[in-house]
Amino acid sequence: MIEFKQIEIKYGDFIAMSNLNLTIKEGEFFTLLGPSGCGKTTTLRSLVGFVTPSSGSILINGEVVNQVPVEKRGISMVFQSYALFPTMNVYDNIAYGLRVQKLGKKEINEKVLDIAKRVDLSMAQLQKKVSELSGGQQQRVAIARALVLQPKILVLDEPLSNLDAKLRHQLRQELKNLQRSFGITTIYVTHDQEEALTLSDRIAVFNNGSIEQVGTPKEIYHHSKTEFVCNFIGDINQIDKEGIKQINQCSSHDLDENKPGFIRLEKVLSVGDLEGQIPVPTKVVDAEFFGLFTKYTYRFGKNLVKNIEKDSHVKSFNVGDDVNLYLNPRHILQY
Amino acid sequence: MILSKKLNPPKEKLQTFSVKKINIPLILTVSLLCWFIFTFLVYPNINLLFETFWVDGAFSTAAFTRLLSSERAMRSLRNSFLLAFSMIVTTNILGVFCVLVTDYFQVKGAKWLRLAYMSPLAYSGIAFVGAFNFIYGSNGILTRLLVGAFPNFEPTWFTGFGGVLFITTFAGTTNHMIFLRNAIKGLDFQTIEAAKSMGATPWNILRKVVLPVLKPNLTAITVLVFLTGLSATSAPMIVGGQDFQTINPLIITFARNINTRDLAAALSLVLGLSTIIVLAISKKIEAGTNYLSVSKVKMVLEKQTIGNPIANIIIHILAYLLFAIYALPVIFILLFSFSDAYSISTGSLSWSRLSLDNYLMLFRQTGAFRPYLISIIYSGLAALIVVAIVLVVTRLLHRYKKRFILMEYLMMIPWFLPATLIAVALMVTYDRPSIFIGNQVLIGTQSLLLIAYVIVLIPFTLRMLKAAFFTVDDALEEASKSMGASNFRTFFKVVLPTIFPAIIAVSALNFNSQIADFDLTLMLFHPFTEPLGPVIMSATGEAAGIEARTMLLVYTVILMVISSIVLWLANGRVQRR
Repeated sequence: MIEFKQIEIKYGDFIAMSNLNLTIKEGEFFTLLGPSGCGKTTTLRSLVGFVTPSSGSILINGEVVNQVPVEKRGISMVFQSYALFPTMNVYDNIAYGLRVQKLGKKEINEKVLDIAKRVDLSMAQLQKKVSELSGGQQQRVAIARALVLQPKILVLDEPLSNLDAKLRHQLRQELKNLQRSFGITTIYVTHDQEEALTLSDRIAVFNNGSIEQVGTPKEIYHHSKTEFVCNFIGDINQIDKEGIKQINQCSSHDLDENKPGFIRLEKVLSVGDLEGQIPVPTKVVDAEFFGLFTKYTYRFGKNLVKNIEKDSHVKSFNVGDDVNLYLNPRHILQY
Repeated sequence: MILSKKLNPPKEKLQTFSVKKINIPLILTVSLLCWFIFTFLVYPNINLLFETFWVDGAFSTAAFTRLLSSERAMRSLRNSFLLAFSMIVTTNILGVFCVLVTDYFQVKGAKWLRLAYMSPLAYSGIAFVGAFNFIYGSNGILTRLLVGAFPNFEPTWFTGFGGVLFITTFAGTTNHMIFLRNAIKGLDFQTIEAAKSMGATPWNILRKVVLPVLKPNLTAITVLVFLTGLSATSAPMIVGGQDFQTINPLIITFARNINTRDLAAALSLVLGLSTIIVLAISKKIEAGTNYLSVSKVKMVLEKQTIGNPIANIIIHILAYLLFAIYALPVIFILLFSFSDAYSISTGSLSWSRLSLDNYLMLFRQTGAFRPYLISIIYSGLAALIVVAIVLVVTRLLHRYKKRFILMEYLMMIPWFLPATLIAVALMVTYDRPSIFIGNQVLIGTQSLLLIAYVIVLIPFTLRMLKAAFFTVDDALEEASKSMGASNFRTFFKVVLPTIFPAIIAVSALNFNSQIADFDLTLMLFHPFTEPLGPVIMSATGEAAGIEARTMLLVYTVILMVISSIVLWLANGRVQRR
């Protein structure tokens, strides 16, 4: 188990992280999610030992590790840039940590070949220079190099951000499978909310050097505790105070008319046959065809409201059409 | 993201980490470096000021008064500045032309042209001057041909300001061939295509698009050229004659005599001050003139055709004329190095008189080969020592960032000071027992020259290795540590191999720059271990015998071979990495 207790991290006068309290369970796939500069990487680096907290404690399995040097913490890291050693070939990169541990040649060879097989690296690729590999292959080497040490904890700092979208999707799944099969406590840093939702057992959403919410992907998505989380996770519609007043007039709900409201796209429907739904008169202003679905934008008062229509063959609107949208005021979040 | 201090402070501090371990190896290393910097970079120069302005226990400007009243010294000062300013014009015109014809315009045989234009890299300094003197000097091949053809022709035509400027201009284009070529190669071709698509002519593109981008490089090169002119030594000494002597030869002359050493100190201070002023001005000019390409996908430069046929012919003629000027000394020296004394003294070549005798003599006679061996040992050792010292400093700078910034500034002191000033400062400081070097005297020891070589190589090595260090991704070190490696292992297994190509390249350039050094060597060499520079110098003099002149040719050829091999090995190694 990993515990961050009242961690504060300063760079000179600049406070990068304040009063961080977080517990990560053993074997968990835990994601630190947030926009650039929110403190998620700083948190990760403090766990690995590259950053020393100015106050507070970091505990691994009940032991305070603040003073334990990086090389003694037993945490393997996969870097955003992969940080593969350009002067070594793939085999030597993977074997590096094992050689540091002064293992025998035979054992090193067995372990390298075994991990290479598990991450799908061929014998020929093992002899190549790292610069001769594709981005996806380099990422596999970085993961193999980290996993071969059988660490207690694996940390990954935006390891998919340098890859194209298709490869990112493919490797995301492979990463999850590898984590499951190794059962290592994994901490993953990303700013990609989709990545966080699909990979994680739990997520901590960071903003401005502190945590906004910790929870499972479903909790975070459906029960966002703050406006920031609500806006940062998934696509969401914002309805201004006027719109809220209008909705209150058509329903028995008493939404706070002094605050804007937020509603997920999938909670806004063009068919109204569910209990509690109220009709909202809108006009179609834009339609984006994505193949699998169409994303419509409607004007509702001064608001632009979006929804997704999955079956575009069954129903399609044209720009300028008047459409009644249906929503349940219960799904409107206010902060 | 901007975070304010308003963020909630922790309720209680569970642990604070103010206790720091004492790092004894670090303290020892830093102490040693501080001793080295103070003893050899700071103290001698402060002492030089003290010795110049503090005479018999009181402040004195006597040295400067003597200097001002010396017509010879004043003339040398004027000549140095005249040469430096003239070189700015001539060297830049020649250098830019050379780079354009080899790397920007489509000129036939560009590879051969480049080879010739880069030849000064293989035999810089005294050897280069000696080679040009062999062709154009009063006893030179060309001069003798001209005197033969026109009996009234003045054999000393190449002596004086014109000859010095000619040689220093051709020697000074090496900076253009290295730095300006790189800058041209780094141009984004799409900017040229964009200008073309907007209807710009090739001449307009060159003036408005290409040259402005090269301005920062040209400014930096101009400063180097100016400083080279200001501290020129071998060219004025060999071809300057009575009428055109500059500061540095005079400093060397004054420094040799104990009665005029104060004059040498005063002159070298003037030279040092001028250098500092020039560098300060250039720093001011350089600020804000760096252009960064904003191109997402940079395209490699394609050579430009010269559309105007007349311009094309003129440029080809000029390019090959320069080829001849650069290549002739190399070719003649190579050919005559295989010739006998008769051919060399008469300037006539004959197949029947070509042999390996001169080279055999060099290797058979210990005395003949000895200067080479001494120079190789001195420059090799200096290259090794300076890399070792600078590696430690750059590691400290890289690791502890601003904590060692003062150390970096102090290490750059030799950058601002001419070599002769450094030599004079060492001479006047360590000509008596000094507590900083264990009450030893350095004057008259073999180590003084080695120390001076190391000192002058520090700034270049520091700049290059610092740049190399900062290109190493921090994540590589972190990755190594996260896999359990110690700092020591991380440095030797990850960092050092990554910057190894830069270390090799810098060492090679350092070795080459010192192997035939002249300025420092002439002032500080030990009579029992005479290196190559002074030997070449004495072989180029009017009074030099035919045997000495023959050996000069052999020395120059072997110097070219050694320098070329070192550069090739360094380059090959870098490319392989």
